[in-house]
Amino acid sequence: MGKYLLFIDDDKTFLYLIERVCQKIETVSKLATAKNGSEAIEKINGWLESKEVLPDVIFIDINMPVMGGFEFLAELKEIKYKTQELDEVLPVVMLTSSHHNQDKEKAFATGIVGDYIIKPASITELEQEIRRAIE
Amino acid sequence: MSSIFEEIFENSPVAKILVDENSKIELINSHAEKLFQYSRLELIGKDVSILVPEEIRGSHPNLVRDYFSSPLQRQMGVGRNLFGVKKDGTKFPVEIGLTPLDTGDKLLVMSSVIDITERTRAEERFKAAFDAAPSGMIMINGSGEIVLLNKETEKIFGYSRRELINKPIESLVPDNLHSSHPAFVESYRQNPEPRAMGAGRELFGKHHSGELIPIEIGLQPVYYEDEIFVISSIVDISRRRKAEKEIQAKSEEIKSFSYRTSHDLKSPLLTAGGILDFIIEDAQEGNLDEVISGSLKAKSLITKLVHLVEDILALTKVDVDGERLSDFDFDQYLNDVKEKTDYILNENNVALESSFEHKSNLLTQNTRLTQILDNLISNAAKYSDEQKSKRYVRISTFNDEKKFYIQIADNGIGIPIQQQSSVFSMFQRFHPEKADGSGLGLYMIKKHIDKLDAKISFESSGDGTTFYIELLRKGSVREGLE
Repeated sequence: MGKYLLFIDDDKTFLYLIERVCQKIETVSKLATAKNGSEAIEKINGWLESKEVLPDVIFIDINMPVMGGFEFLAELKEIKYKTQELDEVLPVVMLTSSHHNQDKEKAFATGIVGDYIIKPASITELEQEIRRAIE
Repeated sequence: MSSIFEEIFENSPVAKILVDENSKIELINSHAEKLFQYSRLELIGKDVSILVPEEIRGSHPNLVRDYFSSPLQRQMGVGRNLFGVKKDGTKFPVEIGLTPLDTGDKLLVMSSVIDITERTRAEERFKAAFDAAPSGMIMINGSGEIVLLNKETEKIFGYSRRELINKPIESLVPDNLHSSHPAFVESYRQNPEPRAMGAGRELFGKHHSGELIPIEIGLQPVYYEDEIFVISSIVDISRRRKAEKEIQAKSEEIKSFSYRTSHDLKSPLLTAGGILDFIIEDAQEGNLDEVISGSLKAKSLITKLVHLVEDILALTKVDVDGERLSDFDFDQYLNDVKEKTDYILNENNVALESSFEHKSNLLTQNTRLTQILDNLISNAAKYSDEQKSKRYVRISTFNDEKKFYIQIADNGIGIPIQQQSSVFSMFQRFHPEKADGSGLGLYMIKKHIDKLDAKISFESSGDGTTFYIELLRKGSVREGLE
């Protein structure tokens, strides 16, 4: 069974890039996107309500308008807390251009972030990073 | 009188004058002759009030009589400034000791007069120096009472000298330290050495108004006749503290700015790098449509970067002062801005309207005001409302005697209510889906407004947004840190 991935990024060109990179990864079976944290939360709540299949991994950027990555993580924690069976699902990977250590530390400190990837400049590297993250 | 006494009297280094109960001078010594510039023949038998200032000459005989009613050895006029008068009329400060002298047939009083001109002058010099000190100076005695203070102290704390003399030093100490302060004073007295007070802590003094003032205090013990006095020199550091806070805020701003710019510059570059990889792949596979679509995507990323870099450059110019104030020509401006924003106005089908009702000229820094208006007008065009058939942005002006008012009103999509409080912060983008703004525009406008000592406010809803700008008609510029 392939993996179902959710990418949250305000840069629609980057999402286009992700789409094309994921076409190369045979283990990715389904892709969803959201342009900011708030839209992603709405989608997740919708899936939970209609008992749809949830993504296997969420990739999220940090700096986004309306709702950024860290606010999203706080909301997601809240959802996980309310619906206890989500404990083991919806792992999050940060996929951002921020190389700031304080962002990395802050991400891991939330306890629900499993990986922190700094956006690479080549699609080969991007492909490798996504493969590694969903293994 | 015995001759020994006469000898002592005559040769005493202190001016001495013998006076009877009727104020008549009985005898003076040679020093008194020298001091008052009279020969003794001129004075003997005369009323002693000839030697006192004219203004008290009338009442002096009474003082003499009072003395004779209870003749004791004492100082004359304690607490008052006494003066003697020389033959040529010169007044000079004196100190006078009185000693009753019973000659057997007559009671006399011997006045010993010391010329304290030099001492007074030295005291005045000291007082002048103390007063002229650029720091507040307060001297307290062993009981913690204020015995001396200078002008600067009055200025720092807002009290007059009279209100503070003999008061406990705690009058100037913040209320929460009132009870513990005397113990600090005592411990300093046990271990007195010149030092700064409260090293590493922030110190405050209490102003007359009750307000706390940040101060720096240096302590210096002074020994005088077995008593320890402490002189505190006090510097009001309000302005320094304020500057420090401004610098701190500035440095936070720079940090957050560099954090966001590094992200916002890097992100599109990384994406563009990936897009180019695909363009190469697509070109190798001969997939021309994909090559074109990828190139357009890369091109748009680069355009976005160019805008961001332009905004950053414009922002760095905000801090450059020095442009002269000159009259702002609104008609000329309207022509210019129509030309500059022609494309964006047409693209969004927005009409630029104007209603200039000002009667007087506006004196201002033209470049700054142009940047402010350009930004507001192009924002209004970019964030127009497609649902409305007639879209407009209207610039209107009017003035009163002191102020000049500019309004930029549109019927666009408005600023979301929950984000209205952070409108003038950096990197705020309210409608990322509508346009690729850098999020720096309104932040930059606010900086220009501050530089012009002007005010900006706005009202916004789904019906549109109006920005209100209020400038001083005669112009004003705030230079320096901003």
